Amino acid sequence: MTEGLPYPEKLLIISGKGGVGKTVLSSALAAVCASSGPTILLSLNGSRPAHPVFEVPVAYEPREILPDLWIADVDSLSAVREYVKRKVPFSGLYDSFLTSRMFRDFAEAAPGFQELMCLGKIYDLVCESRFARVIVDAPATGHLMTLLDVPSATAKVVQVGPLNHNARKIQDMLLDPERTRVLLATLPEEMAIQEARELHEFCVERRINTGPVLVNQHVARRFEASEVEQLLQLQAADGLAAGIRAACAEAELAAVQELALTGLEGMDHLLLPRLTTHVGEDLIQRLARHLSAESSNG
Amino acid sequence: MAERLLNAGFDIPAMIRDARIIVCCGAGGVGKTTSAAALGILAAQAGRSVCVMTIDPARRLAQAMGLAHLDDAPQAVAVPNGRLSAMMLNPKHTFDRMIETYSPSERVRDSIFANRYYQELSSTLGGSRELIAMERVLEIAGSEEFDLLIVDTPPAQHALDFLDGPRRLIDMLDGSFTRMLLAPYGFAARAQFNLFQHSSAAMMKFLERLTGVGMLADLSEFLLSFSSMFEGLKERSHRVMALMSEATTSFVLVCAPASASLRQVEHFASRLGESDLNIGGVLVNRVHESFGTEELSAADIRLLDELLPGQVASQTLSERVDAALQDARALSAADSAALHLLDELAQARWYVPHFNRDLHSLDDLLEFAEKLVDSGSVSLSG
Repeated sequence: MTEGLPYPEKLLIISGKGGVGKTVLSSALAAVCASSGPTILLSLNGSRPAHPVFEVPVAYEPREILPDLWIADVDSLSAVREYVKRKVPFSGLYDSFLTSRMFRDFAEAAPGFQELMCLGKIYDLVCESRFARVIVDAPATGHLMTLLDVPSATAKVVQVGPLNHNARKIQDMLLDPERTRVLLATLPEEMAIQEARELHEFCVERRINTGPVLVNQHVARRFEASEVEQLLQLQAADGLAAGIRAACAEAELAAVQELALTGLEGMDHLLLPRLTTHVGEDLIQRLARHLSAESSNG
Repeated sequence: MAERLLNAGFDIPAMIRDARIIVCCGAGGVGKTTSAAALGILAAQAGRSVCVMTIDPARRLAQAMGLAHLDDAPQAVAVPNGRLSAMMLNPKHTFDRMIETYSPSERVRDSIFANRYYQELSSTLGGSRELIAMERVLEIAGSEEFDLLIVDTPPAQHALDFLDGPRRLIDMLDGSFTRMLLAPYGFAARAQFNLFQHSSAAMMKFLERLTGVGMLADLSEFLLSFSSMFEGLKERSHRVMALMSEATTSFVLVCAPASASLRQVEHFASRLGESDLNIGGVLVNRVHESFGTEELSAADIRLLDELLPGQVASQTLSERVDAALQDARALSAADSAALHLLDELAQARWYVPHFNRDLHSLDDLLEFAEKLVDSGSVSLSG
């Protein structure tokens, strides 16, 4: 696991269809990156009291959970308050206003404002912190697309002033191929792959650096075609032997996945094996090994 | 390892017979759309006139229903022995129409449509997607055309986003900030407001420093127009809450047999319970088969190894068959361990097995529906 990743960008955003394993994959990526420098793993407006993989509490304040591996949740209101404190001199005077209902109403009422503030916090971590890597466990495809369009939309709507300035700064970072990369998480299933392709096209259109596709839960072929045929005959003949049925089912799944993966033709992708253990640190370490080995192979 | 047979699925027939509204909720990717469609098929085959409504931007129900495109208006789906329609919410379209309906005047309507906030960022307006869904639920539920509406909600991280969203947006419109913006224009000024005029001027100055000159003017213009629809929206929101609380509305919590997903179900269930909303059941999707406890016998091994083996494998065929069996059992054991999280829940549970393929044809949905009906026969190792 000392190989690290071949992607030099400091900001890695992981997104894809719901349920494909974004949290697991981003955790594994963060674990790989932490072996070569301080890394922070971010979620956005997560409502979970604890990180489902590392099983530690997550808050806005970064917390080191393993050597050089930090974790935080960027929630909009905390991001807004931090922005204000940095922006306005003597902002201490406004403390009571910042925690007031009226201020919260303002933040909710201004479309895109909270999203921009979250992205601003990410900007600070990428451009003005000691972290070598920022890994974002991003929302699912559709939601991420909306989020990535907020800076340009804000710059259009608000044409001067600090918000405009911030939106442009963030936009520059997102479009900078040396700083940002969107990784596409998927399962080896048709619809999830289609969503990964949609996100890929979205990024290409906007000139956001993207790829490769990380294919989670891949089941490699264990039986050759001639063997599967014979196993199927055995299954048909005496039917119920559990081992034969399990082997046939697995062979079918491997074939279905292979077919679905043809949808990735022409796209750079990594196959990460389906692991049968629980989600947990052990699984992360194993996935991380696969990730760094696979990506250093090409 | 003992087999435990789950007693489940006993009240699906009752739910699809009696409910007027079924709401499928859950995280992204757990199979809400598929479940909504399958329940729709079952209800249609039981003789109800059903509409399935999805709010999913990925247009997955369209694929699942085998329709070329789903429209904002319900379209008939060719289900054997039943009347089923499906529709997909087009958020921008419904939002526009809602503004047409509730704007007090043409002037207000035009100013909303012309506002840059509305044009560029209305999709980020917190709760707007849910508000739009709510609007459409009321329209369909109020029509005579269907006697059961099945709603596939947007993926939610937070319990009850679907119901909280509209309330949040309405609270915002009714909130102190919006009122402060409205006050200087003398529009909808409320008596208590004038008391704060002095301090609010300072606040505005502060916010302007934060965001830039002009931003607040644009924003207040937007909110000003928008909040003139406030009374209409508020009334709709109350009506939808009343509809959701009726005994004939059932929530179905869709989840995967993984601990993160199941913890969320616990949380959803308690929030729904607090609000006195009625949970029809918990649908656990993609449960791995247990493959019993029987190991490969000596005879099986002999038989397998006498078969013509492949060319490249480093292990014998029987070794690989055994490895496949052990992997399958490990997956099933992991599901069972996670499913203990539901032990405390009182609600009915339905289990649908893991399919080796994506479900995106009508036949696939029929098969899913069939499994859902006899989900009592799914067995778990444990």
